[in-house]
Amino acid sequence: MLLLEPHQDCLGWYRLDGTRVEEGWLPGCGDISTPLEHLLGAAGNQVIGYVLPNGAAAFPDPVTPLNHALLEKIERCLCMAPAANRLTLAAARTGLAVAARAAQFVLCETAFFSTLPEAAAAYPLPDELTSLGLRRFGGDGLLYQWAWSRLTDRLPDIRRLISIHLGDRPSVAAILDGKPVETSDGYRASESLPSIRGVGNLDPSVVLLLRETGLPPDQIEYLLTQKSGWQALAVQPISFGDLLAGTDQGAGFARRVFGHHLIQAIGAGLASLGGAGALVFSVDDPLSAVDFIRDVCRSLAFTGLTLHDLPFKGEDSFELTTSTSPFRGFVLRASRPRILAHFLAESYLS
Amino acid sequence: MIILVFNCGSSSLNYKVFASTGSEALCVLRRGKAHRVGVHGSEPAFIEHYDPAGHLSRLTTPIPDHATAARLVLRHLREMEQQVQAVGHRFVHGGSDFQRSSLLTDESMARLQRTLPLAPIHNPNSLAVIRVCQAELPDLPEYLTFDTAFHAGLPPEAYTYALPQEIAQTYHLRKYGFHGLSYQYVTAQAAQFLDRPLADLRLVACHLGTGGSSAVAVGRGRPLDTTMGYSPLAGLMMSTRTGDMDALLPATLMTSFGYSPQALTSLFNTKSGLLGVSGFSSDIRDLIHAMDDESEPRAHLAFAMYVHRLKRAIGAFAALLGGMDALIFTDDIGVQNPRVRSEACEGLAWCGIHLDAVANSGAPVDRIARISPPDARVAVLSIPTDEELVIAQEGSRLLKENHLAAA
Repeated sequence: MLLLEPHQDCLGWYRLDGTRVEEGWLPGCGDISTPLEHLLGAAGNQVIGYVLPNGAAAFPDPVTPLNHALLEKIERCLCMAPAANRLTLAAARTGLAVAARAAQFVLCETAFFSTLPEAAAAYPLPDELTSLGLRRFGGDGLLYQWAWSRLTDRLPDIRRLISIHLGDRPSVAAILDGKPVETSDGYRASESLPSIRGVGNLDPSVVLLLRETGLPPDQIEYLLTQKSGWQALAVQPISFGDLLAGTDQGAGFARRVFGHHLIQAIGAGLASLGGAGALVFSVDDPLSAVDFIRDVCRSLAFTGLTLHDLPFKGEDSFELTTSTSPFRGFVLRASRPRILAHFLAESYLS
Repeated sequence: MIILVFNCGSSSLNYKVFASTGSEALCVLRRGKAHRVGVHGSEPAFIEHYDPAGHLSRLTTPIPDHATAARLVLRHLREMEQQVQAVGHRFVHGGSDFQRSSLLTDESMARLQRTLPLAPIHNPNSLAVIRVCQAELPDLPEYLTFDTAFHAGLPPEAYTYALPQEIAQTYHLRKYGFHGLSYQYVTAQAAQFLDRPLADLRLVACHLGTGGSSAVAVGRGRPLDTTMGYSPLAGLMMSTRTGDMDALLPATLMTSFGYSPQALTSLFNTKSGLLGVSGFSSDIRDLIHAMDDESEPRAHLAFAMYVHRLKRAIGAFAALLGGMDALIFTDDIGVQNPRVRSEACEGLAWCGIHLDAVANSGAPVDRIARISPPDARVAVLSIPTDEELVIAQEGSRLLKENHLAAA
């Protein structure tokens, strides 16, 4: 199984063979057709998945078999995530050309949110603007679907879940009976949470003011997605791991700002759900995040959530709460290649 | 001390004349309001005056701007032989220059000029009223109060945008918050009603007006966060304003669809919100009527979005505070619309919010009322706001301090 996932400045790939995971990346700038042909040409009759970060309204299903018509749909979504979607398109186009024997699929991160209720998905804008397709598309949908299925394996009766993805691009989703009712992500990016480079919550009039200062629109977008976020708060490059572990003033301030907005995003999700039976934190490296997660959960003690003080030993799934806590809390190890492979395997087998 | 207070809206001018009774108490001698100031339409502008006995007089006359409205007020007070000893003004946006109320001096006047671009609709109106007062009452002390001052105590993690610091500092880009005079009043009222010190309370207050709406989380007597931001555009969905949105949305509209910032400022501020979604009205009462008689299909969506975003904010602030002691609804929609309160509170039992349906639907609009069961963990209160009283109180304090300093 071969999976390709675009990031802002590179195209990551995972090759899965049983329990073995091999990963690498291709540079995102310049001509990557040759390395792509080499990578995909060697795929043989493997199953190949291409992750599409933002499919807008064109991709209502999380996994779709790839064909030439689908390439046109991806092309129409380029503006939704210009750098990342472009890499997906390039990879998918190359795959169709050189890996014809492989079963190939597009995995769309926004599809999960295609059923977001209208009151949550719509922006309070006039027809002139909503007719341009402007609505909230969410993100990280594959992870949220995966987290839901893991939780319901453990708690079959759960109906209301707050799901929190922690990493360089964090997000929160409120899920009712397996379907989203709210998310912290909006049209193309997070509306509330600052991330490794993304601004998160920002008064829209600030964007307009920046334009009035003479900054061109494309540079404003670059500023908001590449030069803002935790690195701006810490005044240094800073990953999620650095955010958690950093002891200097900058990292501490970035962590406080992030925590300030994260707890509010969780509260907003709880309000949208009318309360929850559980919350789950999905994170690549739970050991590094468990103390931070416990601090967040302590803020929620007023809901009845009760933490135990048992040590975390590095499990893939860890319950934070006591057996009598009315509101359960969990940490899940979210291995990105395993999550993507799960969806790809399901679709291939079906 | 007799204080005249002016409170400018975007198309109105409220005034009240207060008399201090020697203690901290202030009573209203006269009040009034100029309506449809600078509004062009079929309905004429008019100004109302209430005398000390509460009798109303009304004058229909062109009121092309706030300066004219102020002159009409001062003329009326002269005709009524109403003495005034000081004048207080409300400014929507004090920026970083004004973090508290301030006497009007040459120095503060110069600083005031810098705030004009921050609230281009509201601040110039207030300045125009000041100039009229300076011309017609040149010997009276004047002072300034600011909607933003209450939020000067926001912690850095609340007011800092995650922008590069050189950009944020150059253009003073931070969250300022608004409706501060109202929050100052209603939080004090809540503390008094609950018979607990404000410093002991965790409060969420929702100022829901026919123009702007916002909410604030107050813990230990200081604001911890608020929904409006650098400008009054951010936060909750409002009558004609969008509230919060993905910052890349306006960027995309400029990059991919060619919109100018001026066009988007107009669309986001005057054509969005309840009006934009419903397609027919910015007034939530109209939407509710339309929902009830099924006459406008988009009324349901507009109302549902308004309530959803309000509910989201209440939940967010409950979590930020680690629970709350009281939830306050104030201003026109907050106090006069039990249906908004009821639907906003629906499903918030997880943070202790329950409404008493009878108390909610029967809550008076002219005084504080508890609309939650008496034994509920969170007291839900409907509190009519009184920004003019706060302006007068600030003036009374400032003038007393100034008099003591001079002595």
